[in-house]
Amino acid sequence: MCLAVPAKVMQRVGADGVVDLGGNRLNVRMALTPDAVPNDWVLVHAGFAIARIEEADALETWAYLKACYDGDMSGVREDAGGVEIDSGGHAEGQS
Amino acid sequence: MERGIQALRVELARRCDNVGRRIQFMEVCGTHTVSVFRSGIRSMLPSNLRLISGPGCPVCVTAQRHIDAAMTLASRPNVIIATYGDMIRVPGRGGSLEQRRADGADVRVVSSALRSLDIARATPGSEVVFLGVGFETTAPATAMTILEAQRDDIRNFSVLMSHKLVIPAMTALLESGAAELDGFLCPGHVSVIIGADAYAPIASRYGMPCVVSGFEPAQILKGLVRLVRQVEHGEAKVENVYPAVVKDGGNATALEIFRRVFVPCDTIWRELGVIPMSGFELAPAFRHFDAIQKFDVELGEDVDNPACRCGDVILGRLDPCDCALFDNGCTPLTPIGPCMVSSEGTCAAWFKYNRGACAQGART
Amino acid sequence: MTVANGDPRVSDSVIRSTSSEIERVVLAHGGGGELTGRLIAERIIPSLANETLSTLDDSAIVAWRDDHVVFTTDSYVVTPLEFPGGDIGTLAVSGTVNDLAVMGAEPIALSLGLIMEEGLPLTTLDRIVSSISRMAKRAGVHVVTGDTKVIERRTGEGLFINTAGIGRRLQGARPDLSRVAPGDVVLVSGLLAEHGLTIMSVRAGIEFDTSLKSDATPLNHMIRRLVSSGADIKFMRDATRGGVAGVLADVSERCGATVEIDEDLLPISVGAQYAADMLGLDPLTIANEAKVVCVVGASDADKVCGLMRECEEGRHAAIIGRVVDRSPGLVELRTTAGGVRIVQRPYGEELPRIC
Repeated sequence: MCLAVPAKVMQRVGADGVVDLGGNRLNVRMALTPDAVPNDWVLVHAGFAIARIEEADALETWAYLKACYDGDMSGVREDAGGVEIDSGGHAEGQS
Repeated sequence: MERGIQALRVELARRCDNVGRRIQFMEVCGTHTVSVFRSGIRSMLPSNLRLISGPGCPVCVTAQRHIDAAMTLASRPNVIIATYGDMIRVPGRGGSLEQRRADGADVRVVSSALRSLDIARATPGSEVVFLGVGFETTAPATAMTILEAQRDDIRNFSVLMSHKLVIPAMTALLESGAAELDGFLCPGHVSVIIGADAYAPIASRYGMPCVVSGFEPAQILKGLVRLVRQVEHGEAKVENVYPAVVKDGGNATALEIFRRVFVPCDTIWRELGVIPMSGFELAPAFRHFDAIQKFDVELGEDVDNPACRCGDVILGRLDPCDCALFDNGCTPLTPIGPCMVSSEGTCAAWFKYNRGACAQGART
Repeated sequence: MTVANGDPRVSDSVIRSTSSEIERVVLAHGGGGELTGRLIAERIIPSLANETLSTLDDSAIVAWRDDHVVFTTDSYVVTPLEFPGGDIGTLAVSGTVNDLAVMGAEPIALSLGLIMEEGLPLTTLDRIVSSISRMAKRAGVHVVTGDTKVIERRTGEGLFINTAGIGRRLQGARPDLSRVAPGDVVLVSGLLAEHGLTIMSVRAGIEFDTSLKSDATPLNHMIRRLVSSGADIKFMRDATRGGVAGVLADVSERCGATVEIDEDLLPISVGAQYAADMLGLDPLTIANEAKVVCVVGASDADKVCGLMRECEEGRHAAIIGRVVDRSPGLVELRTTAGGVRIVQRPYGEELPRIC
């Protein structure tokens, strides 16, 4: 029972936070990662951030993150017509 | 294909070749089972390397009596059952929660334990029962929810406790001598909570290599390479290829919350019997949130289908293909045992990703 | 997401003096009398106006000059009724239009059956009728006949739609599963899983704010271009429930041949990949609304892909695999990691996993 995904902290709101996963926003509880601040990466499971991740480690461990977060803005699987990502990490053409 | 993955494949093949004999590792976690299949790693394993899927599917090992208890509660008026997705299809004696929902019971899938508390707040006339299933990765969410319920004095909320602990399960497995293992691929996200050091007793007492790895393909391959390397060198230690998120000591806050809210207890695992200190019950200060106690539910006995081989499959004694019921009455649509119900169950994973090979007689 | 506490039930025997004071559908709207007539005249006909519909005869008479009618029906029961990118009305038109289009037919006329629940806000109905009108115009098809019924209140927010459509086969269109053979190439017309994930994102219990939108839209114009190019389109199917996996399973089973697809070639947005990962779901098994899986002769593959990409609704089209002469007929995915796994049609509703 281990499904957890990496996400970038956008905002801290008290004990909670808003994280971004490729344009999906999620409210999560940050009680297990009290030191996480905006722009940190965290691992999210069942509505909780359960660990902090260094950005370099996040990009190395989850290969698909590289396409949207490391400055190469050509998007995922461009040869297959992947979506263009703007520098805010949001897919263009999607509000 | 990434050059990193290709290099790992080559190294894995070389090391397995050096060892020569058959090597068997257990993937403790159902998510590893699914990831190994989904990423295609299963199809690229050297021929002498066998991965056994262990008891790492918390849905799979939820005792039938707990499912029956949930079914009983679901049938009561004004009770709302809140549960993670997979649980609603697990068959108890009288069918599944999904079927009970079709009969009119209020059963809701939630993506977080906290949502069940939201439901309780929004429906003061109902009793919300949350099914607390999962390993240590998921247990903190249940604990936090109970703490919040306590803080906000929410009376119409309770938890049917069925969390399971990974280390006692691994220990029980080794004690039973059930499978010939050369090492464990340890669950990355459980380890975020319990820490890599938690596996040290397994390595030292049983001489078992333990490597903690994540779920991306490169992670899994790296984990397997390290395991085989230990076998090559006759070592038995804990290694962590997922240090990005797994620390030696785990998540201190989560462990502290466990100590406050939960007490380890002997727990029954489906098809495996009682494993000592392998589950959580609520600490005395929180016992009024225990659903079994609150509603005075009588726990029945587990009644298993005699032809169901889930127990053997979970322990790695049998491949799904070798169960007479596999794809012969037992399918994801008509599951008999829990291994088929949960998408992380060994049989469900084989059915989804490997059935063609089964039919051809070729096993991977 | 809590169910809104409804306004006090409007007794079915009460009819307000002017229709503008009635804010919700009441049982009397389904009675076939004055209120039904007003509902249709004021809230449905104006958006859908066309000569055939306006006669409000028991049946529509549609001019025809072909040997065969391409005929389909579908019912729409989605909740919530409205979601990012569309609503039940959007689906009701584009779904049925696309079922005709993938058979190589030009849609000619639609029927529209509305089953409304007592309590449905009329402004909601207005928005949905407006979507129906907009989609119909986009597809270039008319709603020529319809029906309205009202059922007793359950949640006060219910609406079910059935649409049936007739179409005329395009010249040269012969999509037929039995024509698919080893060597053929498989394409998909755009980004996977957007619709299914959007719906999941707004369903109670699985909520997350997403940039994803339902992709529902008519595809008949794009498909007409493909057919009229002369390309040998062997088979088309829209990948709705069951996703692309479901369609490919149909193909491999029918042909007894293996369909090989490449994970690296699957078009999927980062947001969708992430959302699928978060829910533990395989994007190949998630429903789309306006995505077509096409199987074409190898020599036409690049041309067809290019033509799709020239259309807005096909701008992310991609070649994703091929049919190979290997039995038993399975769908095999070559994974990004360089391995292989089998893809099967999902068994019923795919449940989001946490665990």
